[in-house]
Amino acid sequence: MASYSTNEFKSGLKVMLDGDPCSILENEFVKPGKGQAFSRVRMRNLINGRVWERTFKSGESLEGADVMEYEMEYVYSDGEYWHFMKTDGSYEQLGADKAAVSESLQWLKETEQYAVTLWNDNPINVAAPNFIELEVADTDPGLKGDTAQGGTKPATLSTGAVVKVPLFINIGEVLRIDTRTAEYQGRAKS
Amino acid sequence: MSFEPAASLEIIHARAQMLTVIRQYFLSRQIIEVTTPVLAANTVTDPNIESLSVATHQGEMFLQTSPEFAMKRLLAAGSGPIYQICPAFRAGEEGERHNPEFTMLEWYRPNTSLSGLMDELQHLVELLATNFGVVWSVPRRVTYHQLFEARFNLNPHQVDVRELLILAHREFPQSVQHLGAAEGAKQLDDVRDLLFSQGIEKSLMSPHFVTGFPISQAALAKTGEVDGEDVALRFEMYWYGLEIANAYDELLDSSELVGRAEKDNKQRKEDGKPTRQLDNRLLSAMDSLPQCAGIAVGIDRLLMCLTNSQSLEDVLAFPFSIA
Repeated sequence: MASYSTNEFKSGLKVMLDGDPCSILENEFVKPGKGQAFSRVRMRNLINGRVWERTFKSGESLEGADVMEYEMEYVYSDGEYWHFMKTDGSYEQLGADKAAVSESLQWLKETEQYAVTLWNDNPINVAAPNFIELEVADTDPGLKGDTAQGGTKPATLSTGAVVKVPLFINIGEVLRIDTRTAEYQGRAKS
Repeated sequence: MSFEPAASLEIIHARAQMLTVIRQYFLSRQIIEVTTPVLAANTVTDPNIESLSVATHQGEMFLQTSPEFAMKRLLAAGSGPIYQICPAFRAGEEGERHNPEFTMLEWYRPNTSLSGLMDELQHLVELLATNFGVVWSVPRRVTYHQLFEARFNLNPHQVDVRELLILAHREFPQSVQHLGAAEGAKQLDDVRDLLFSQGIEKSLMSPHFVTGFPISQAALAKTGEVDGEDVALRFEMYWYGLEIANAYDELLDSSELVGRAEKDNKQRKEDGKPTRQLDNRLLSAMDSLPQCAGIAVGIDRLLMCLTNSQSLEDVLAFPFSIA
């Protein structure tokens, strides 16, 4: 992998730091009057998601991280790994472990596409699409005619996620959900 | 691909207005405008300034980091007070407050003291502030020592580097990793710079003139004793947390110049940077250089202050990334 010097640190660049792949968020160039220049860098650790800041001497370099992001289709889980398939025509499948899928676990639906981050060809993160359509697996019976009122009730979706839905929603209906906030957006247009 | 400038047309006009006011000011004070080469055979030896080099038919030459050497040759030839508005270049300096190519206003006044030059800068910026209708107050004149005393409760000239390091790690834990394992005087300067840039500089929002910098940061300024402390005889102006100007009571001693260049190059070697040969034409001008005070003003940053802009990109027609 190539290495990158501080003045190549741009937002989005993936580099290795302390053994973990990181994505650079921000790079502030600091040059005290007569002194040595340095860079204050904010980056996200792609393994644990933590954001942190540290400084580098100007000209210091870091090794690039072999990090790629693919749109992949969720296929199945064998209990230990969650398997995704590339949609580039290669049909290549890769298994992601629980740590990698954890933030998207409750939104995993077969044939849906996810943004899978690979580090050295291993999945390290799976991001759900912002909006997803899921079927209601269980909820209290709907109240007829109550379409205008603001009340909500919990509904369990086919993936196991529990979201608040309006009172008129019934089992078997397909809903549009914002995965970032786990909020009901409306009935899916069929 | 977009051809459009980064700065608004309003700012492009503001720049023209600023330059007009500056030129009228110098005209009224009988300081003449000069033009010197941007490209020269020699450049600064300063260990923390990197020059851009250009391959020419005469071999490697350098884009000026400031017009200082050429202007001093004019002063030595008897030019009297002179000023110049020109591009200057610093390799690798790019960010919200830096662009590898920037515009510098530099002027020199023979037989003038540092405080005389301070008054002159104050008049010029006041004139600009009035012209642009921005808030302006008479700059507070403070020393480097006073600023450290007020913010960190210590004397930056007489402090143990270990004590400073502990303070830096406590106050700015996310900004100390670049300090590394440098030793001695360089480490002391690095930590002082960190504390100044992170703890003090950004708080200098109203206009400030700062004097009494450590002698290790003298560059081409004289050094001398002020209030019982050996300091560099120079000042910097800060406004809106930005370093706007840097002035020297100019060094006249040629053997001192040679000594400092040697020290710079020793540091450059240690840092793994190419050494820079001292400009012999500057050296031979030193003996004829009259006592003078000189100042460099970052015109682009000054325009940021005058137009309430947050980033250099807002005041440059075509910043480095789209040049």
